[in-house]
Amino acid sequence: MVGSASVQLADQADSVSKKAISKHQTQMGIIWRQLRRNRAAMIGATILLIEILLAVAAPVIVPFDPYQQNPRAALQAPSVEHWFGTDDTGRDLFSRVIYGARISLRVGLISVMIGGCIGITLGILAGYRGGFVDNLIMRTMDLLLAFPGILLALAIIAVLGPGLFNVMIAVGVASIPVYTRVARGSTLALKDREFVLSARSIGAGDARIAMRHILPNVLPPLIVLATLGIAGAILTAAGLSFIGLGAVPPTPEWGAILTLGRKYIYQAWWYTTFPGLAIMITVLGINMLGDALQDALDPRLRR
Amino acid sequence: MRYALTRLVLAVPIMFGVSLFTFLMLHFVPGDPVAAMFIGQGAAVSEEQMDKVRDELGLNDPLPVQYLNFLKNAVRGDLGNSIRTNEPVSEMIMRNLPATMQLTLASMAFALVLGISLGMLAAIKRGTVFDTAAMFIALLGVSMPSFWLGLLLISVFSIQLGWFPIIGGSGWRGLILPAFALGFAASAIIARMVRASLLDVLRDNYIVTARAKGLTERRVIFRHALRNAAIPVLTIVGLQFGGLLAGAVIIESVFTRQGLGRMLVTALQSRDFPVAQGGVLFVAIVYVFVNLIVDLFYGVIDPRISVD
Repeated sequence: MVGSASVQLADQADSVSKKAISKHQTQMGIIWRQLRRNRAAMIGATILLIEILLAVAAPVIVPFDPYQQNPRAALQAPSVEHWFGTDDTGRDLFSRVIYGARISLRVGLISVMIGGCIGITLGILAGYRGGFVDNLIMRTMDLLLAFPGILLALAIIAVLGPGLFNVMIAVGVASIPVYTRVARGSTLALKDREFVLSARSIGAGDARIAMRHILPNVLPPLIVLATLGIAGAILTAAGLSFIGLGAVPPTPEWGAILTLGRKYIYQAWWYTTFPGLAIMITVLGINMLGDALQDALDPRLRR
Repeated sequence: MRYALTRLVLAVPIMFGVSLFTFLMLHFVPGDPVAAMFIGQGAAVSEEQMDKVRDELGLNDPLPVQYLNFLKNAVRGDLGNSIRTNEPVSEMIMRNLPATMQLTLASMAFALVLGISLGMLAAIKRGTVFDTAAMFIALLGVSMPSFWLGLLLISVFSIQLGWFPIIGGSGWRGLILPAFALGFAASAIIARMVRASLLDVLRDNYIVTARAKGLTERRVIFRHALRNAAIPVLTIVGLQFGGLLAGAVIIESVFTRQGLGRMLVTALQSRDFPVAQGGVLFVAIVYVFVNLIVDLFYGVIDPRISVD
């Protein structure tokens, strides 16, 4: 998904950056107005905001300790006391799912930061320097892209070993090529523009030009990618935890809860329903916001 | 023909790169890779045993020699033996391949049928409830974790209704639910692509001409628009195929199906390095081939495409 978006975004990058240069100040205003008018964007943003609040306030609002076992209350159906029911050791699933939001949002953000920072740096470097550096970086990216879907993440886990932290690295590194491609494309379109040339003519160094002049202008399409990337990272990380390569029980990570719950799929529907629903709603919210951002940044779709 | 040859030649360095990458996997393992393989084995492992494995893996040779040997063996189909079972990795792959291919192809077929139908519906009825509904389904598709969808399907169709086996057995009945769970996300992406490219094409002059000639709307869509809208969709299909192949890793675990995915996951969990390495290499090479075929294919259907 991110892959297909990147192709489109690379095309848009040029036209977007043109606008960004001429009226950078109003650009944000235009995008914000576009977003405000988009119902899906507002729904997505609301979902996300509520979730971030829940995650931050989790220790205060959860009714039970998410790790506290209570064998006498095992596998209870949802009730007034236990909104999402209890698991096989009597832990309150509502508390666990809320705590799961802390983990998943963090995993999504950190993975994207790893992939985005490395990817964007490499992309600007490749586009700005050109020649051998460009070739080396882009051929490496082609190579990484030869590994489909989560296979690259799996290969990295094979090297680093299972665990939640390694999953973040794996998912982050696996997403590098997408950012690199888009950042490179935008940089290529920018580097011979007048404002870059004039910066150079007054003696600005390469690092300064890259940071102060190129980076701000390549960012808009990359922000869309990163937003959608958070959704993808949350999905992948939950999947890896589900197959036992990420977070380990008793960590209340959504994928890890699902692994435990599948054993009780006959007698306790709530055990697998709520954590899965939490993943879906989170990812849905982020995707709605990301899609809307993408539309808002595309001048062709402006109304 | 020149296009085909160029594409083929371009795939060669990628193949080399992929093999180099998988070869180096072992050498990136922090610390002693052989010791890492035995972590979690339970029983204490003697130094001699580790030396034997080191020797088998050729870890005592210089790096370039190791890579050449790895490549030479891989080309002959020798990917080493499993550390756990001592079974040759290539045999394990061949044993698990049919089930995974079946699953991947079935979910691709499903994704195509659902994705193209939804995308066409949305494009033709643009701006109506149908469009909104189809695109909402597509949004659900990309937001729903495949493994959770799998669990839901098992709980509704296998446990409540008893229509399908709970544990993915052989035969088509065991294939339907996993194929659905795996293919749903791909169908969503295909639906979006079909909608976008159909809407793009429908604005073209030759469509206006076709309509002006008095052709029925059905003929305009099926004979004129769809054919040209198919080109970008085909690219996505190639990319999605790889996604499905890799996605099988998780879905096979959900439905406890035999296959490459389960083989890989088990290998990763027990740090059975030769199996993990061989599995990753194999899937990546298949993916490179599939994309090569897709590229060649649209060189055929779209004569404008050529390699510069």
